[in-house]
Parts: sequence; structure tokens; C-alpha cells
Amino acid sequence: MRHLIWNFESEPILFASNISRVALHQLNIENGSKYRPKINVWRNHAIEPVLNLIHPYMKYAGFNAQFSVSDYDDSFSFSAYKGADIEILWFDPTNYTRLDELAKWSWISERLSRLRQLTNRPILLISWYEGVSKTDIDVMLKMPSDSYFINLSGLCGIESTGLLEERAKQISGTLLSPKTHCKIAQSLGCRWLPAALGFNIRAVLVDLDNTLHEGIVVEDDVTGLNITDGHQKLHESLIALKNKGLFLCLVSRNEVADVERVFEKKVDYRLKLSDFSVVEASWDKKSSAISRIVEKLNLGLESVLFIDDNSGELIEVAKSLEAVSLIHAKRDPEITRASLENFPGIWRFSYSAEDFKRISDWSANNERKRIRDTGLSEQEYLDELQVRIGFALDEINDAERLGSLSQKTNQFNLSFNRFHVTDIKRIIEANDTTVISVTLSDRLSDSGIIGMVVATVDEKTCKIRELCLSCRAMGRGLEDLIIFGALKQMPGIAFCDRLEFLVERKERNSPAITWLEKISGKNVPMQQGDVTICISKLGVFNETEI
Amino acid sequence: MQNSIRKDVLEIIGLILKTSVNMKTTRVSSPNWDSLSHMELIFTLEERFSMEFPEEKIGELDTVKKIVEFIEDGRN
Repeated sequence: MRHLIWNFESEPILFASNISRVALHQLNIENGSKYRPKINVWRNHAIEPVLNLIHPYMKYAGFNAQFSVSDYDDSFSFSAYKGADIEILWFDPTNYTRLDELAKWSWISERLSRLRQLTNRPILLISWYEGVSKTDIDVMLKMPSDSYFINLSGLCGIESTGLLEERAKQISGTLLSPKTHCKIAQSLGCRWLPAALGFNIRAVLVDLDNTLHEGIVVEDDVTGLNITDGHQKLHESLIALKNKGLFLCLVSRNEVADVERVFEKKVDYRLKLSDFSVVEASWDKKSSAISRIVEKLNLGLESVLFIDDNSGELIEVAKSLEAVSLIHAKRDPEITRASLENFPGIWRFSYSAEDFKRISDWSANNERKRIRDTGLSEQEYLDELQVRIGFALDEINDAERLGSLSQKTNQFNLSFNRFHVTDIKRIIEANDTTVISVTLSDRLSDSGIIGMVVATVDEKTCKIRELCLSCRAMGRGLEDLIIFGALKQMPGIAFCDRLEFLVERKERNSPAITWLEKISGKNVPMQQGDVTICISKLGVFNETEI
Repeated sequence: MQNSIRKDVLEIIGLILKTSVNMKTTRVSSPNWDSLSHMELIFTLEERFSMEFPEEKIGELDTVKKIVEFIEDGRN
């Protein structure tokens, strides 16, 4: 709990609108995190003024990165390369006085491409540009797969302070102004590195009283509740996240009628009750309410962020549901908003079509359940919903989404290979392995790509090296159709008599393990290993096609 | 005022060097006081006292005493 209390107490300092360098140093920054990713920094100007300030942000995020910083090298030669979890190119374009502005970006593209050949891990190009337009940059800068350009001049809050300062270079070896160091450290520690490391919040659960407004509905009545500009901005941030595909849910210790009255009567409330996918209003423990929400949304606890002003209730949640992330809502809602917007796993480099579909897709589940409960047979149910499952083999255009699925899927992930986009592309291009992407739609929603199978055929055995299904495809009773449907597409499957699943049992993948144990009739071993099934015993390969 | 400056400077230098310091601490006597921590010291003290150290002075500020005196002089 000490780490949690440190986080709550540090939020006003870490996410202040004007971060104080002194205050960051005053935070006790002993970082006991056991998660220690390795990060290579290739640079031609100093990164140390930022790394000096990043430790409290990493502690907040729950990791303790080990940075390996190169010598100053304008050629970005990547000499003595050793693998790492993330690569950073810390690039000062002003060092190249003999190149015109556009040529610099063409040249660094070539260097990125070279680094891509050395590693399959995410690459962050962190820099800025002046004297060229964004359009020019878009044309000249060619980013390889799973690599991301972070433009410091566009960093919120830095525009007003000024990004570059010649004096700073004389003192520290970087043109970046000292006033920008804290903001860059904050973004590096809480946004960019967590995004590259796969931190991923999918649902934001919020308390009501003294979080979304000032006051307590049962004590102050609706008329006594105060909604400041800061609260309205917090509401807008939450709505923006919802529009990007994150679930919003309300968790309130109140009567349902009181909660509804707040949303009906408070005309200055930006949030509407309909913005919340699930509303839990009861006098039950918050952890119980959150458990019910997680079950309804089919999410893992590690995908959930809960915001509450009551530190006692936050601690109760932490004790019962350790994996849930927490923010302590402050009296000043601006701090809460800044904590939310910078919370590790909230910010992403990009949002996929599947992200935007998540909420509508889930909302359709109630209708699916209603149809299922009408007593239709399995086939009638599928016909009624007009379920369509599509398969594509070795489709390079699906690689980004498939990489994301492999990185983020926990519940229905059999082997946890955690392939990166670059790995997927390499496998697609290889001759001996097939990557099958699975799409799912019905008359209620189009879920997009929801699954992936990576397999090889070796004589009479089909070896499944990777199998993952998005949580949005779970709970519809379609697992067999999706997985066996995909395996039927495997070249050479007709000559196989065995399926061999690579499997690793973890805390979070019990749905996948349960499915495998059900179809195989075998217990999945505790250690990583293979589970082999005779195809003839399955009897599923002759079932009706969808 | 002077006591307050001295107290704040000692606290900041102690935080950055991650060791206890006093008015007699110098770069030579403190192994943690390398060029990287000196740079961080300068930026942090500049922020705390809302001032800029002249570039030509930065290298010369190699003892706690000199730093305190320089800031006190700037404040007077």
C-alpha cells in the first residue's frame, strides 16, 4: 500500500500545470518496481537533463527502466548494438548544417530503417522540426513498422514556454530549454514508454460525489452540488476517451434514483448518463461493484482504471483487486484531469478502427443475450444474428492490428508469444508459417479483426504457435467456430491428423486454458508446453460453415 | 532571508547529490558532484530562485559556499 499512498500524494506534483523541478527532486524516489525494461538511447544531444527527472514518473507508472545511453553520435551508427525492449532516437536535427531541412529527415529515415533491421522492438524517434511544414515531414520521414515520431514542439505546455534555448546547449549539451525538461520527463515516463511497453487501459471507472462534482448528493441535494470549470474539463476528458473507444463506467455509493437525478437536473453536467456503459449505484463495496463491471465488460482487471476521491475506498479496492489501477481524485479537478490524461496506459500512439468499435460492439451484447435467451438452437441463433466469420491468410495489411492483439490480449491468449508488428510481418513473409487473421461481424455490429492464429504444418501435425482472441469475441459462444474455422484454412490441414497447441498457463489466461481443456479433455500443464489433440476425436471439422 | 537561502541551497544540493552537505562541501570533496549533477544543480537552483547564472560563472561555482554567496549577492 505504500506505493499506492506515494502515488496519491505525488499526483499534485507530478501532474501540476507548471511542474516544479525542485518538487520532483523532493519526492522520495526509491523505486522498488521489479519490472525493469531495458531501453537503448541513441543520441546526438544530451538526454540526461530529462533522465534526471524521469524517476518519479517511472515509479508512479510501476516500472524502473534501465537506460543504456550511447555516446554522442551524429551518424547514428548503432555501433556495439545490444538488444533492448525499446529503442529511442534522441535526435537534434540542427546538428546537420550541411544538409537542407528536408534532407535531414530523409537521412534519419534511412537510419531508422537500419535500426529496424537490428530489432523487432518499438522505436521512438523523439525530435522537433523548424522551417519545414508537417506535410513536408510526412513526405520525407519514412517510419518503419512499430516506430513512432514524437514531435516535441507539439507537446502540450511546451509551446508557451519555448522549446529551444541556445544557452541551455552551452550548459547541458542540449538545445531543449530547462523549462521543457519536466514536461518531457512526464510524457516519456507516463505516456510514451508505457505505450511502447504495452500498458493498456480499456475502461475508466469513476466515482460520482466529490469526483465528477463538488458535494455529496444525499447531503447537499442536487441543487447544492457544484460543478466548476475544472469539473467540466474533467468531464470533457472522459468523453474524449469514450470517443476513442475506452469504456466509461460509473461506480457510486448512492441510490440509483439519486444518481439519475444528478444527470437529469444538473444542466451544466457535460457527461450524460448514457455516456456510461455500466452504472453501478449501490451501497455495496466498491470492489464488488468493480468486479461486476469487469465481468460485464469481459475485461481483465489490469485494463481497468478507477478514480475516486475517497482514499479509504481506493485502498479497499486495491486490497481486493490488486491489478486495478487507481487515481485519487483531488479537491482540484484539474489535478484529477491531468492525472487521468497522463495515466500510464491511457495515452496511445494511435487508435485502430477496432478501438472505435469497442463500445458499440459491446453494447450489442445485450441484444445478443436477449436473442440467445429466446430458446433458439445454436444454428438458429447464428442465423438470426447473421453472424459472419471471415479469414485472411498472410495478409500484410492486418499486421498492425495483429501485433496489437498479440501484445494486448490476456484472457484468450494460449502461448503469450507477444509478437510485435515486425515479428508478424516477418512471419507473414516466411514460407513455412501461416498467419490467419479472423474478422467477426453480425447484424448488430462489425467487430473487425478479433483473432489470430499462427501455425505451421509439419508432416501430419498442425502446430499452433499463437492463438489469441479479443475479449470482444468472447462470451458469444463462438470460440469453436472461430478457432476451428481458422484452422480449416491452414494449407495442408487436410493431411494432418493432430493439432499441437503451444500453451503457457498464466494467471490471466484462464478462459483460453479452460477452452483448451474442454476440447482436448486433458489438463493443461503448469509449465509451458504442448497439448496434442487427435483431429479425428474432435469431430468439428465437418460442421456447418458460417 | 540569508538563512532561508542557505537552507534552501543546502537542501537542493543535498537532494541532487543524494548525500548530506554543509557549507564546506566542494566538488572536490564530494564524489557525487560530477558534471551531470552540477548541470542539474544549476537548472534546479535557477528555477528555485528565479534567476539565471551567467554562463562564465557556472564552472566557477564549485563549492556550496560560493553558490550561496552568489545567490545572496544576486538577491541583495
